[in-house]
Amino acid sequence: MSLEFSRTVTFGQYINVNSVVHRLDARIKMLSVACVMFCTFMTRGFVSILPILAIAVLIQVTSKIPVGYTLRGYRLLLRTMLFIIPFQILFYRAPAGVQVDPYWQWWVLSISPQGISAGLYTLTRVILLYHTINMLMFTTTMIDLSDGAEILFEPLKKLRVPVNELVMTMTVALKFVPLLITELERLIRAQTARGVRFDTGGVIERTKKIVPVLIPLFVNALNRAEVLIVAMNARCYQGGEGRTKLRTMHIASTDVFALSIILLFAVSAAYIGRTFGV
Amino acid sequence: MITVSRVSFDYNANGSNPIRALTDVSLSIRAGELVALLGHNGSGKSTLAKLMAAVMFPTQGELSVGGTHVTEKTAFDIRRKVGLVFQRPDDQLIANRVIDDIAFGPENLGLPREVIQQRVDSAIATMELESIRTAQISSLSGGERQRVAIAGVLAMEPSCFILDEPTTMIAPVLARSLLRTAHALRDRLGVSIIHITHFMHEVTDFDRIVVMDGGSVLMDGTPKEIFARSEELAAVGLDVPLVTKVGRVLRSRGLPIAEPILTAEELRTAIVPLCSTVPSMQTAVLQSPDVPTVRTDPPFIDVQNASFSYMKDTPLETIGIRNVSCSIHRGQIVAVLGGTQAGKSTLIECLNGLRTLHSGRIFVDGTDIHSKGYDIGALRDRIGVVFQQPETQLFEETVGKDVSFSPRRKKLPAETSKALVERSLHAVGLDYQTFRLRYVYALSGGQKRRVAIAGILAGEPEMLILDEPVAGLDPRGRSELALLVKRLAQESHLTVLIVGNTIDELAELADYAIVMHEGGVLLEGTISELLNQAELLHDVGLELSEAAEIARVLKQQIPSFPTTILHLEELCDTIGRFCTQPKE
Repeated sequence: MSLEFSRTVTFGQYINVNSVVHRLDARIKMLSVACVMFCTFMTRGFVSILPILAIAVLIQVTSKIPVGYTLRGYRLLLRTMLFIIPFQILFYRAPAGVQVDPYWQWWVLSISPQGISAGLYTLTRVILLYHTINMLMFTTTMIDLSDGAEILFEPLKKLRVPVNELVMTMTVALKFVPLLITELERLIRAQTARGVRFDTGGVIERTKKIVPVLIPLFVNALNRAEVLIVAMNARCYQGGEGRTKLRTMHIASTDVFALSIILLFAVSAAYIGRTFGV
Repeated sequence: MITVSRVSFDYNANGSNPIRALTDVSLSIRAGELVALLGHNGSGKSTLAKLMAAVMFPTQGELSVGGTHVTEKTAFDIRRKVGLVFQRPDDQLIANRVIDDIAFGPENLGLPREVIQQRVDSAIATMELESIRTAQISSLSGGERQRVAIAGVLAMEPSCFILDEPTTMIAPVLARSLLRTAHALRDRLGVSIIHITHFMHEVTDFDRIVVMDGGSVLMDGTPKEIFARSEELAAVGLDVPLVTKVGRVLRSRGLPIAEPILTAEELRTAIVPLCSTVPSMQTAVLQSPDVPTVRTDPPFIDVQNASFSYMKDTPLETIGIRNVSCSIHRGQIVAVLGGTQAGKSTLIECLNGLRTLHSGRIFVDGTDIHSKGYDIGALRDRIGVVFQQPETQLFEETVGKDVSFSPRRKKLPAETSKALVERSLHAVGLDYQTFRLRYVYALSGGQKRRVAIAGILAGEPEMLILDEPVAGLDPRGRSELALLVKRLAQESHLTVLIVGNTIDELAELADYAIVMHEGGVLLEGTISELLNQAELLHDVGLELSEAAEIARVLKQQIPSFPTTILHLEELCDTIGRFCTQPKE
């Protein structure tokens, strides 16, 4: 087991390289992501998903995030998918009007070119969804995300949803992630040094070994949370009421342009999918 | 500015068994005053700080800040006047980026955007954070984080700063720069500063020192007044700065030195006029280097051109160690010294196979530990590492269980295991019968650390690595633990590696020392050989022992003064030799 989680787990990391994508308004990015995700669900096959693929490539290139780094993040996802996709192929049931000519068939199980194609299509969709969210995280700081969310969800305040407090909770929770990861690394390192082998043994044995790591981790996290409350109080935090903000968000012409392009591609993907079913 | 009158405080005041933390404390802090609050753990100083910052409220008595009574109702107004900086910056930083964290306070005050902007900019300028203003806090070093934490309080424009033990957990170099900041804030902005600390030498140039013990104020006066009362301080387990002791010893030997001496510079001014030319014979004796015994046997550990980087091949890559070569022989006590980010911790993690080198090799007993089929698990049993702040890494419920972790894992018979635990606890000065069933969480910081060391000893290592074994403890804890480590190193016949950022009594134990800087080896040799280069060591952020530090300052005006000095007695004797004997 590697001691550097932060090296292998790329999800949720912000990569500080200055690019057009990084400079886009967080609200625009979040809207775009929502739109791309929605339209991805509207696609019906390899043809309709092409525009989505184009968006993915476009963002990857313009964001200046090293391709190798992005790909590294797919390892875990691919491993999970390798486990799931075979089932999807085996249990494939053709929708009405589609001719299936299986290579092999037994009971409800079959292997057919249509099944394989559907499996691969699902895989592509999952990867694209993951990629879209990943790109948002790579190029947007947490504070931009939470500020953007605060504005986007503003209307919910009318429904008495405590938007400011929820966003603050999210910010604080996210602050803890790197701290907890460092702490986890430290605890694992200390126990490895005392002879615990985290990289050997079966599932049950490994789970057993992780428990003594999690206990001090949670105890420390609770202690930290308590201290943080005092710290926030000491700096006059009293909830969202009456709070002002240093940061303002501006929508520039590049933002409008970027959103239009993405809308164009995403909607065309949805349109092709809905109309032609391919 | 702040008036505390007859304040008492109980933790759990409304519960079934309240714990008294402060008894009848009265104190007043004037505007623009630089005050040190000294005392041991449990003396009540942190409690007092929290009361003054209105994050807790007194059980009895009254507090007022700038004429306003501190109550839950006025807390918001008090908190904007009194800023609290915590011991660990990680406890205090709330946002993810520097600039956003600094803005957090002013935002809570509901200030207009332009005002927030202006306050944040000026806090950034004052704390010299310009280059990292948009950086992620998680990517900053400890010292930078602390500066951000102070800037965050600064942006609220308080009229009083309370620094709650900010120097306990950080390297001495950072502590010094923090103190410079405290002075600068007072001088430039006219704010009052209350600095809470365990360390006497930090506060010799403060306006005023308040000493607390057992929940009440024991002494209150200028540094000169306080440090003249060294017997009373000693009675409550507090020590005067070493240079003050030197002054006392020299005076008792008849040198005309006024009491008390507070800084090395003062001492220098006092003794330079007394200096005579140095007898050449004695200097020759002083400067003869210890001849290191050349070891011809093959080394136990041999490191060859080792390099390792963190987050290798990602945009976040940083260098851990580069091109390090060194060797350690059986039975040797070796010190690895260096400032922060020198690569010391990375090196020990590589030695025990926790990290795999990116280039270079490490041989243990002649075998390359990265070779195929090498049993890394067995290596970790042979090299026991006590990490920094090991007390936070205890994970079993009771002392006995935690210490017996290794023997149980190796499935040793119950009798052998029991004997090992007993022996290990005994070695760290804890009685087996008394401590076996104690709950780990109920131990003191120093005891926890001992238990952690016992846990490593119970694994019967051939070599023991101690990473900054005394860091983060209060002075009493430090000297007790230093004594323990000394005894362990001398009596155990283990090969010992002590990692530190100070040439202190632990580093002195070492037969050999390696100084690291920016990931590479800068110097190696015996401690006295290293001390010949005191100025260089000082420049790379390695802290000298108090005695050597005084010698370094003296040398600046007495060029022949040796810097290879480790102890109080040695320093006094040397000064004595340099000074003319006063006439009877």
